[in-house]
Amino acid sequence: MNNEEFLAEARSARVIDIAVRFTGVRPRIDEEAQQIVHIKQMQVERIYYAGDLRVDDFGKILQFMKERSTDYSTREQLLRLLEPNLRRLTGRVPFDTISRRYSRNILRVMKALELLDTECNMTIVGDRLLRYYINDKEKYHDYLSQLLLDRGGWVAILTVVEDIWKGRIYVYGRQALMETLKERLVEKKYIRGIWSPNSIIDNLVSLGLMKQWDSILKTHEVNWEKVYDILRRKVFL
Amino acid sequence: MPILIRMPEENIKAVAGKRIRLNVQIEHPRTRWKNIKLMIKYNELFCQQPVERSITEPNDVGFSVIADEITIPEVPPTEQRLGEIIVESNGDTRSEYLPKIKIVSLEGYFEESVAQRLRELGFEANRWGGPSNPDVEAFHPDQPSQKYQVEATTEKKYDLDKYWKDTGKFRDMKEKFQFKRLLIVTLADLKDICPGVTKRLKRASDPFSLITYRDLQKLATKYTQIEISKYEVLAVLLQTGIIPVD
Repeated sequence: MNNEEFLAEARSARVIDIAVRFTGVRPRIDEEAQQIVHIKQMQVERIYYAGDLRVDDFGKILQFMKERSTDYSTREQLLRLLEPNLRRLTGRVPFDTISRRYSRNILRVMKALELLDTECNMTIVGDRLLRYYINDKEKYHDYLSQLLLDRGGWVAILTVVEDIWKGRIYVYGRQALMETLKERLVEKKYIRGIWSPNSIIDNLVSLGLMKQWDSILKTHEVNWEKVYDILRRKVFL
Repeated sequence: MPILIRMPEENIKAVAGKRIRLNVQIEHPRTRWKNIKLMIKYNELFCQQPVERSITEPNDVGFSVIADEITIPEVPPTEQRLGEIIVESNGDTRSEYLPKIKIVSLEGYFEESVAQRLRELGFEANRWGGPSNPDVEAFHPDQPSQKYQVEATTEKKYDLDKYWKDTGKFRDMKEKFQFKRLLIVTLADLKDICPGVTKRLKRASDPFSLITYRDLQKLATKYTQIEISKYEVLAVLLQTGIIPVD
Protein backbone atom coordinates (compact mmCIF):
# COMPACT_ATOMS: atom_id res chain seq x y z
CA MET A 1 0.00 0.00 0.00
CA ASN A 2 1.41 3.39 -0.81
CA ASN A 3 0.60 6.90 0.32
CA GLU A 4 -1.86 7.58 -2.47
CA GLU A 5 -3.80 4.39 -1.79
CA PHE A 6 -3.90 5.05 1.91
CA LEU A 7 -4.95 8.66 1.36
CA ALA A 8 -7.73 7.54 -0.97
CA GLU A 9 -8.89 5.10 1.69
CA ALA A 10 -8.67 7.76 4.40
CA ARG A 11 -10.75 10.15 2.30
CA SER A 12 -13.39 7.59 1.33
CA ALA A 13 -16.93 8.45 2.36
CA ARG A 14 -17.91 7.72 5.92
CA VAL A 15 -21.64 7.27 6.29
CA ILE A 16 -23.44 8.43 9.42
CA ASP A 17 -26.89 6.87 9.67
CA ILE A 18 -29.46 8.95 11.52
CA ALA A 19 -32.91 7.61 12.36
CA VAL A 20 -35.85 9.92 13.10
CA ARG A 21 -38.91 8.37 14.72
CA PHE A 22 -42.20 9.75 15.96
CA THR A 23 -43.25 7.91 19.07
CA GLY A 24 -46.97 7.34 19.66
CA VAL A 25 -48.86 9.70 21.93
CA ARG A 26 -49.74 7.98 25.21
CA PRO A 27 -53.49 8.31 25.83
CA ARG A 28 -54.65 9.92 29.05
CA ILE A 29 -55.18 7.66 32.04
CA ASP A 30 -58.93 8.24 32.09
CA GLU A 31 -59.24 7.44 28.38
CA GLU A 32 -57.19 4.29 28.79
CA ALA A 33 -59.23 3.23 31.82
CA GLN A 34 -62.47 3.83 29.90
CA GLN A 35 -61.19 1.69 27.06
CA ILE A 36 -60.27 -1.13 29.44
CA VAL A 37 -63.63 -0.94 31.18
CA HIS A 38 -65.50 -0.82 27.88
CA ILE A 39 -63.77 -4.00 26.70
CA LYS A 40 -64.39 -5.80 29.99
CA GLN A 41 -68.02 -4.69 30.04
CA MET A 42 -68.64 -6.44 26.69
CA GLN A 43 -67.95 -9.76 28.44
CA VAL A 44 -70.27 -9.10 31.38
CA GLU A 45 -73.37 -11.27 31.40
CA ARG A 46 -74.65 -10.26 34.79
CA ILE A 47 -73.68 -8.23 37.82
CA TYR A 48 -73.16 -10.15 41.01
CA TYR A 49 -74.44 -8.60 44.17
CA ALA A 50 -76.73 -9.41 47.07
CA GLY A 51 -79.26 -7.15 48.76
CA ASP A 52 -77.42 -4.27 50.39
CA LEU A 53 -74.18 -6.03 51.10
CA ARG A 54 -71.45 -3.61 52.15
CA VAL A 55 -67.74 -3.60 51.47
CA ASP A 56 -66.68 -4.87 54.90
CA ASP A 57 -69.36 -7.55 54.99
CA PHE A 58 -67.30 -9.80 52.74
CA GLY A 59 -64.43 -9.75 55.20
CA LYS A 60 -66.72 -10.35 58.17
CA ILE A 61 -68.41 -13.33 56.53
CA LEU A 62 -65.10 -14.85 55.48
CA GLN A 63 -63.78 -14.42 58.98
CA PHE A 64 -66.91 -16.10 60.38
CA MET A 65 -66.48 -19.00 57.96
CA LYS A 66 -62.85 -19.41 58.99
CA GLU A 67 -63.72 -19.44 62.70
CA ARG A 68 -66.53 -21.97 62.20
CA SER A 69 -64.80 -24.06 59.51
CA THR A 70 -65.10 -27.21 61.61
CA ASP A 71 -68.87 -26.75 61.96
CA TYR A 72 -69.78 -27.31 58.35
CA SER A 73 -68.67 -29.44 55.43
CA THR A 74 -71.45 -28.86 52.86
CA ARG A 75 -73.13 -25.81 51.36
CA GLU A 76 -76.40 -26.58 53.11
CA GLN A 77 -74.69 -26.76 56.48
CA LEU A 78 -72.97 -23.43 55.83
CA LEU A 79 -76.29 -21.82 54.88
CA ARG A 80 -77.91 -23.07 58.08
CA LEU A 81 -74.97 -21.62 60.03
CA LEU A 82 -75.02 -18.27 58.23
CA GLU A 83 -78.77 -17.48 58.34
CA PRO A 84 -79.18 -16.80 62.06
CA ASN A 85 -75.87 -14.95 62.27
CA LEU A 86 -76.29 -12.50 59.39
CA ARG A 87 -77.81 -9.70 61.41
CA ARG A 88 -75.07 -9.98 64.00
CA LEU A 89 -72.33 -10.18 61.38
CA THR A 90 -73.48 -7.23 59.30
CA GLY A 91 -74.58 -5.17 62.32
CA ARG A 92 -77.88 -4.09 60.78
CA VAL A 93 -81.26 -5.29 59.61
CA PRO A 94 -80.67 -6.63 56.11
CA PHE A 95 -82.38 -5.06 53.13
CA ASP A 96 -83.58 -8.51 52.12
CA THR A 97 -85.54 -9.64 55.11
CA ILE A 98 -85.75 -13.26 53.96
CA SER A 99 -82.49 -14.36 55.46
CA ARG A 100 -82.37 -17.72 53.68
CA ARG A 101 -82.57 -16.07 50.28
CA TYR A 102 -80.10 -13.41 51.35
CA SER A 103 -77.59 -16.03 52.57
CA ARG A 104 -77.94 -17.96 49.32
CA ASN A 105 -77.35 -14.79 47.28
CA ILE A 106 -74.32 -13.94 49.39
CA LEU A 107 -72.78 -17.33 48.74
CA ARG A 108 -73.60 -16.98 45.03
CA VAL A 109 -71.77 -13.65 44.90
CA MET A 110 -68.78 -15.05 46.80
CA LYS A 111 -68.61 -17.97 44.41
CA ALA A 112 -68.73 -15.58 41.43
CA LEU A 113 -65.87 -13.60 42.97
CA GLU A 114 -64.02 -16.95 43.40
CA LEU A 115 -63.81 -16.50 47.14
CA LEU A 116 -65.44 -19.91 47.55
CA ASP A 117 -65.47 -23.02 45.42
CA THR A 118 -68.52 -25.13 44.50
CA GLU A 119 -68.33 -26.92 47.87
CA CYS A 120 -68.22 -23.55 49.64
CA ASN A 121 -64.64 -24.08 50.77
CA MET A 122 -62.48 -20.98 50.89
CA THR A 123 -60.21 -20.66 47.86
CA ILE A 124 -56.78 -19.03 47.68
CA VAL A 125 -58.51 -15.83 46.59
CA GLY A 126 -60.82 -15.97 49.61
CA ASP A 127 -57.90 -16.67 51.87
CA ARG A 128 -55.96 -13.74 50.47
CA LEU A 129 -58.92 -11.38 50.85
CA LEU A 130 -59.39 -12.49 54.45
CA ARG A 131 -55.69 -11.98 55.15
CA TYR A 132 -55.93 -8.43 53.82
CA TYR A 133 -59.12 -7.82 55.79
CA ILE A 134 -57.32 -8.78 59.00
CA ASN A 135 -53.97 -7.07 58.31
CA ASP A 136 -54.34 -4.28 55.78
CA LYS A 137 -57.67 -2.56 55.18
CA GLU A 138 -56.43 -0.53 52.24
CA LYS A 139 -55.23 -3.64 50.41
CA TYR A 140 -58.49 -5.35 51.31
CA HIS A 141 -60.48 -2.56 49.65
CA ASP A 142 -58.22 -2.54 46.59
CA TYR A 143 -58.33 -6.31 46.16
CA LEU A 144 -62.08 -6.40 46.65
CA SER A 145 -62.38 -3.60 44.06
CA GLN A 146 -60.41 -5.69 41.58
CA LEU A 147 -62.56 -8.75 42.22
CA LEU A 148 -65.82 -6.84 41.94
CA LEU A 149 -64.75 -5.10 38.73
CA ASP A 150 -63.15 -8.13 37.10
CA ARG A 151 -65.31 -11.00 38.25
CA GLY A 152 -68.37 -9.36 39.73
CA GLY A 153 -69.26 -7.50 36.52
CA TRP A 154 -69.23 -4.14 38.28
CA VAL A 155 -67.50 -2.55 35.28
CA ALA A 156 -70.97 -2.50 33.75
CA ILE A 157 -72.21 -0.21 36.53
CA LEU A 158 -69.41 2.26 35.83
CA THR A 159 -70.22 2.34 32.13
CA VAL A 160 -73.98 2.69 32.70
CA VAL A 161 -73.51 5.59 35.16
CA GLU A 162 -71.08 7.23 32.73
CA ASP A 163 -73.57 6.74 29.86
CA ILE A 164 -76.40 8.27 31.87
CA TRP A 165 -74.32 11.33 32.54
CA LYS A 166 -72.89 11.63 29.01
CA GLY A 167 -76.32 10.96 27.50
CA ARG A 168 -77.47 14.18 29.21
CA ILE A 169 -80.49 12.48 30.65
CA TYR A 170 -81.97 14.93 33.10
CA VAL A 171 -81.50 13.68 36.62
CA TYR A 172 -82.89 16.05 39.21
CA GLY A 173 -81.32 14.33 42.18
CA ARG A 174 -79.45 11.33 43.47
CA GLN A 175 -82.58 9.25 43.90
CA ALA A 176 -83.49 9.86 40.27
CA LEU A 177 -80.07 8.66 39.25
CA MET A 178 -80.55 5.48 41.28
CA GLU A 179 -83.88 4.78 39.64
CA THR A 180 -82.51 5.40 36.16
CA LEU A 181 -79.52 3.23 36.96
CA LYS A 182 -81.73 0.37 38.11
CA GLU A 183 -83.94 0.64 35.00
CA ARG A 184 -80.91 0.52 32.72
CA LEU A 185 -79.35 -2.44 34.54
CA VAL A 186 -82.61 -4.41 34.39
CA GLU A 187 -83.08 -3.45 30.73
CA LYS A 188 -79.63 -4.83 29.88
CA LYS A 189 -80.39 -7.93 31.95
CA TYR A 190 -77.42 -7.35 34.20
CA ILE A 191 -79.45 -7.69 37.41
CA ARG A 192 -82.24 -9.83 38.78
CA GLY A 193 -83.88 -10.04 42.15
CA ILE A 194 -83.78 -7.74 45.15
CA TRP A 195 -81.47 -4.79 44.71
CA SER A 196 -80.43 -1.63 46.39
CA PRO A 197 -78.68 0.58 43.84
CA ASN A 198 -78.04 3.12 46.59
CA SER A 199 -76.01 0.56 48.38
CA ILE A 200 -74.02 -0.47 45.33
CA ILE A 201 -73.11 3.15 44.58
CA ASP A 202 -72.21 3.68 48.25
CA ASN A 203 -69.85 0.73 47.97
CA LEU A 204 -68.24 2.15 44.84
CA VAL A 205 -67.78 5.47 46.62
CA SER A 206 -66.30 3.89 49.74
CA LEU A 207 -63.91 1.87 47.54
CA GLY A 208 -62.83 5.12 45.88
CA LEU A 209 -63.97 3.98 42.43
CA MET A 210 -66.58 6.72 42.31
CA LYS A 211 -66.64 10.20 43.74
CA GLN A 212 -69.19 11.61 46.13
CA TRP A 213 -72.46 12.93 44.74
CA ASP A 214 -71.84 16.10 42.72
CA SER A 215 -74.90 18.28 43.12
CA ILE A 216 -73.86 20.52 40.21
CA LEU A 217 -73.03 17.79 37.70
CA LYS A 218 -75.86 15.67 39.13
CA THR A 219 -73.88 12.49 39.06
CA HIS A 220 -71.33 10.35 40.82
CA GLU A 221 -68.24 10.82 38.69
CA VAL A 222 -66.18 7.72 38.04
CA ASN A 223 -62.67 7.97 39.45
CA TRP A 224 -60.90 6.66 36.34
CA GLU A 225 -57.44 7.05 37.85
CA LYS A 226 -58.37 4.69 40.65
CA VAL A 227 -60.06 2.31 38.21
CA TYR A 228 -56.89 2.23 36.09
CA ASP A 229 -54.79 1.73 39.18
CA ILE A 230 -56.88 -1.26 40.28
CA LEU A 231 -57.18 -2.90 36.89
CA ARG A 232 -53.66 -2.31 35.59
CA ARG A 233 -51.12 -1.40 38.22
CA LYS A 234 -51.97 -3.19 41.45
CA VAL A 235 -50.58 -6.65 42.08
CA PHE A 236 -51.87 -8.80 44.93
CA LEU A 237 -49.79 -11.64 46.32
CA MET B 1 -45.81 13.88 19.05
CA PRO B 2 -42.52 13.14 20.77
CA ILE B 3 -39.66 12.97 18.27
CA LEU B 4 -36.73 10.56 18.68
CA ILE B 5 -33.44 11.11 16.87
CA ARG B 6 -30.86 8.30 17.01
CA MET B 7 -27.33 8.29 15.67
CA PRO B 8 -23.94 6.74 16.54
CA GLU B 9 -22.14 8.34 19.46
CA GLU B 10 -18.58 7.75 18.32
CA ASN B 11 -15.97 10.38 17.52
CA ILE B 12 -14.96 10.26 13.89
CA LYS B 13 -11.33 10.73 12.85
CA ALA B 14 -10.87 12.42 9.53
CA VAL B 15 -8.20 13.90 7.29
CA ALA B 16 -8.65 16.93 5.08
CA GLY B 17 -10.64 15.94 2.03
CA LYS B 18 -12.55 13.15 3.77
CA ARG B 19 -16.19 12.90 2.80
CA ILE B 20 -18.83 12.54 5.49
CA ARG B 21 -22.23 11.43 4.28
CA LEU B 22 -25.30 11.97 6.43
CA ASN B 23 -28.07 9.48 5.75
CA VAL B 24 -31.25 10.59 7.53
CA GLN B 25 -34.10 8.12 7.52
CA ILE B 26 -37.38 9.70 8.67
CA GLU B 27 -40.21 7.34 9.53
CA HIS B 28 -43.60 8.93 8.85
CA PRO B 29 -45.81 9.32 11.95
CA ARG B 30 -48.74 6.93 12.27
CA THR B 31 -51.17 9.67 13.28
CA ARG B 32 -52.22 12.50 10.98
CA TRP B 33 -49.49 14.95 10.02
CA LYS B 34 -49.17 17.87 7.68
CA ASN B 35 -45.53 18.55 7.34
CA ILE B 36 -42.16 17.25 8.57
CA LYS B 37 -39.34 19.74 8.40
CA LEU B 38 -35.69 18.72 8.60
CA MET B 39 -32.79 21.12 9.08
CA ILE B 40 -29.09 20.33 9.31
CA LYS B 41 -26.91 23.18 10.53
CA TYR B 42 -23.19 22.59 10.12
CA ASN B 43 -20.41 23.92 12.31
CA GLU B 44 -19.07 27.10 10.63
CA LEU B 45 -15.63 25.45 10.48
CA PHE B 46 -16.89 23.28 7.64
CA CYS B 47 -18.13 26.22 5.54
CA GLN B 48 -21.18 24.27 4.45
CA GLN B 49 -24.61 25.70 3.75
CA PRO B 50 -27.37 24.45 6.06
CA VAL B 51 -29.78 21.89 4.67
CA GLU B 52 -33.55 22.43 4.82
CA ARG B 53 -36.02 19.87 3.54
CA SER B 54 -39.78 19.47 3.93
CA ILE B 55 -41.81 16.30 3.64
CA THR B 56 -45.44 17.08 2.90
CA GLU B 57 -46.90 13.80 1.71
CA PRO B 58 -46.79 10.20 2.87
CA ASN B 59 -45.62 7.50 0.50
CA ASP B 60 -46.06 3.74 0.07
CA VAL B 61 -43.05 2.77 2.17
CA GLY B 62 -43.84 4.97 5.16
CA PHE B 63 -40.47 6.69 5.42
CA SER B 64 -38.31 9.21 3.58
CA VAL B 65 -34.54 9.36 3.23
CA ILE B 66 -32.63 12.62 3.04
CA ALA B 67 -28.91 12.50 2.31
CA ASP B 68 -26.23 15.17 2.37
CA GLU B 69 -22.46 15.11 2.02
CA ILE B 70 -19.79 17.30 3.46
CA THR B 71 -16.03 17.38 2.79
CA ILE B 72 -13.57 18.03 5.59
CA PRO B 73 -11.69 21.24 4.84
CA GLU B 74 -7.93 21.79 5.04
CA VAL B 75 -7.61 23.12 8.60
CA PRO B 76 -5.16 22.59 11.48
CA PRO B 77 -5.87 19.54 13.65
CA THR B 78 -8.90 20.14 15.82
CA GLU B 79 -11.93 18.38 17.30
CA GLN B 80 -15.35 19.88 16.64
CA ARG B 81 -19.01 18.86 16.46
CA LEU B 82 -20.12 18.36 12.89
CA GLY B 83 -23.24 20.39 13.58
CA GLU B 84 -26.84 19.98 14.64
CA ILE B 85 -29.93 18.27 13.25
CA ILE B 86 -33.40 19.75 13.89
CA VAL B 87 -36.70 18.02 13.17
CA GLU B 88 -40.05 19.81 13.35
CA SER B 89 -43.54 18.38 12.92
CA ASN B 90 -47.04 19.37 14.04
CA GLY B 91 -45.68 22.02 16.37
CA ASP B 92 -43.14 19.71 18.05
CA THR B 93 -39.43 20.32 17.60
CA ARG B 94 -36.44 18.20 18.50
CA SER B 95 -32.76 18.84 17.93
CA GLU B 96 -29.66 16.73 18.49
CA TYR B 97 -25.95 17.40 18.07
CA LEU B 98 -24.21 15.53 15.28
CA PRO B 99 -21.10 13.43 16.15
CA LYS B 100 -17.70 15.00 16.85
CA ILE B 101 -15.10 15.09 14.11
CA LYS B 102 -11.41 14.94 15.03
CA ILE B 103 -9.47 16.41 12.16
CA VAL B 104 -5.95 15.02 12.05
CA SER B 105 -2.98 15.12 9.67
CA LEU B 106 -2.35 12.13 7.41
CA GLU B 107 0.42 10.95 9.76
CA GLY B 108 -1.93 11.24 12.74
CA TYR B 109 -4.65 9.38 10.84
CA PHE B 110 -2.17 6.62 10.00
CA GLU B 111 -1.12 6.32 13.64
CA GLU B 112 -4.78 6.03 14.63
CA SER B 113 -5.34 3.38 11.98
CA VAL B 114 -2.37 1.35 13.25
CA ALA B 115 -3.68 1.59 16.82
CA GLN B 116 -7.11 0.46 15.59
CA ARG B 117 -5.63 -2.57 13.77
CA LEU B 118 -3.77 -3.56 16.95
CA ARG B 119 -7.00 -3.27 18.93
CA GLU B 120 -8.65 -5.55 16.40
CA LEU B 121 -5.85 -8.03 17.15
CA GLY B 122 -6.81 -7.96 20.83
CA PHE B 123 -4.15 -5.51 21.97
CA GLU B 124 -4.64 -2.57 24.28
CA ALA B 125 -3.37 0.25 22.10
CA ASN B 126 -3.04 3.91 22.95
CA ARG B 127 -2.03 6.53 20.42
CA TRP B 128 0.29 9.23 21.77
CA GLY B 129 1.72 11.12 18.80
CA GLY B 130 4.20 13.98 18.91
CA PRO B 131 8.03 14.04 18.60
CA SER B 132 8.78 13.30 22.25
CA ASN B 133 6.25 10.51 22.60
CA PRO B 134 5.88 7.10 21.03
CA ASP B 135 3.40 7.00 18.18
CA VAL B 136 1.45 4.15 19.76
CA GLU B 137 1.89 2.22 23.00
CA ALA B 138 0.49 -1.32 22.93
CA PHE B 139 0.43 -4.55 24.91
CA HIS B 140 -1.59 -7.74 24.86
CA PRO B 141 -3.56 -8.49 28.06
CA ASP B 142 -2.09 -12.02 28.10
CA GLN B 143 1.44 -10.59 28.13
CA PRO B 144 1.21 -7.23 29.89
CA SER B 145 4.95 -7.03 30.52
CA GLN B 146 5.74 -7.27 26.78
CA LYS B 147 5.02 -3.63 26.03
CA TYR B 148 5.45 -2.48 22.45
CA GLN B 149 6.55 0.89 21.23
CA VAL B 150 4.89 1.17 17.84
CA GLU B 151 6.30 3.65 15.32
CA ALA B 152 3.99 4.29 12.38
CA THR B 153 5.65 5.77 9.33
CA THR B 154 4.09 7.05 6.12
CA GLU B 155 7.37 7.42 4.16
CA LYS B 156 7.23 6.04 0.64
CA LYS B 157 10.52 4.27 1.19
CA TYR B 158 11.77 3.02 4.54
CA ASP B 159 15.48 3.75 4.58
CA LEU B 160 18.34 3.55 7.06
CA ASP B 161 17.92 7.14 8.10
CA LYS B 162 14.40 6.46 9.28
CA TYR B 163 15.50 3.21 10.85
CA TRP B 164 18.11 4.97 13.01
CA LYS B 165 15.57 7.56 14.06
CA ASP B 166 13.01 4.96 15.12
CA THR B 167 15.47 2.72 16.95
CA GLY B 168 17.07 5.79 18.60
CA LYS B 169 13.64 6.86 19.83
CA PHE B 170 13.13 3.38 21.26
CA ARG B 171 16.41 3.52 23.16
CA ASP B 172 15.48 6.92 24.58
CA MET B 173 12.02 5.89 25.65
CA LYS B 174 12.29 2.31 26.71
CA GLU B 175 13.29 3.13 30.29
CA LYS B 176 10.66 5.82 30.72
CA PHE B 177 7.76 3.81 29.27
CA GLN B 178 9.18 0.35 30.08
CA PHE B 179 9.00 -0.80 26.50
CA LYS B 180 10.35 -4.24 25.72
CA ARG B 181 9.93 -4.30 21.95
CA LEU B 182 9.83 -1.96 18.99
CA LEU B 183 7.32 -2.58 16.23
CA ILE B 184 7.70 -0.47 13.10
CA VAL B 185 4.63 -0.27 10.89
CA THR B 186 5.32 1.19 7.49
CA LEU B 187 2.97 2.27 4.75
CA ALA B 188 5.66 1.31 2.24
CA ASP B 189 5.64 -2.11 0.59
CA LEU B 190 8.33 -4.70 1.28
CA LYS B 191 10.08 -3.85 -2.01
CA ASP B 192 10.45 -0.24 -0.82
CA ILE B 193 12.40 -1.22 2.31
CA CYS B 194 16.07 -0.44 1.96
CA PRO B 195 18.33 -3.59 1.98
CA GLY B 196 20.46 -2.07 4.76
CA VAL B 197 17.38 -2.01 7.01
CA THR B 198 16.54 -5.61 6.19
CA LYS B 199 20.14 -6.63 7.06
CA ARG B 200 20.07 -4.88 10.40
CA LEU B 201 16.67 -6.23 11.31
CA LYS B 202 17.97 -9.75 10.85
CA ARG B 203 20.02 -9.35 14.02
CA ALA B 204 18.09 -11.50 16.41
CA SER B 205 19.54 -9.81 19.51
CA ASP B 206 17.56 -6.60 18.98
CA PRO B 207 13.89 -6.71 19.90
CA PHE B 208 12.94 -4.88 16.69
CA SER B 209 10.23 -5.94 14.26
CA LEU B 210 8.90 -4.38 11.07
CA ILE B 211 5.60 -5.09 9.40
CA THR B 212 3.95 -3.38 6.47
CA TYR B 213 0.56 -1.83 7.08
CA ARG B 214 -0.94 -4.06 4.40
CA ASP B 215 0.32 -7.15 6.26
CA LEU B 216 -0.92 -5.81 9.58
CA GLN B 217 -4.37 -5.35 8.01
CA LYS B 218 -4.21 -8.90 6.65
CA LEU B 219 -3.34 -10.26 10.09
CA ALA B 220 -6.21 -8.34 11.69
CA THR B 221 -8.67 -9.66 9.10
CA LYS B 222 -7.51 -13.26 9.66
CA TYR B 223 -7.91 -12.86 13.40
CA THR B 224 -11.35 -11.24 13.28
CA GLN B 225 -12.50 -13.94 10.86
CA ILE B 226 -11.21 -16.56 13.32
CA GLU B 227 -8.74 -18.02 10.85
CA ILE B 228 -5.95 -17.70 13.40
CA SER B 229 -5.92 -17.73 17.20
CA LYS B 230 -4.59 -15.09 19.57
CA TYR B 231 -1.57 -17.37 20.26
CA GLU B 232 -0.68 -17.29 16.59
CA VAL B 233 -1.05 -13.50 16.58
CA LEU B 234 1.31 -13.21 19.56
CA ALA B 235 3.78 -15.61 17.98
CA VAL B 236 3.78 -13.61 14.71
CA LEU B 237 4.28 -10.23 16.36
CA LEU B 238 6.99 -11.52 18.71
CA GLN B 239 9.18 -12.36 15.71
CA THR B 240 12.14 -10.08 15.26
CA GLY B 241 13.03 -8.74 11.85
CA ILE B 242 10.62 -8.28 8.97
CA ILE B 243 7.32 -10.00 9.67
CA PRO B 244 5.76 -11.56 6.62
CA VAL B 245 2.05 -12.42 6.60
CA ASP B 246 0.73 -14.86 4.02
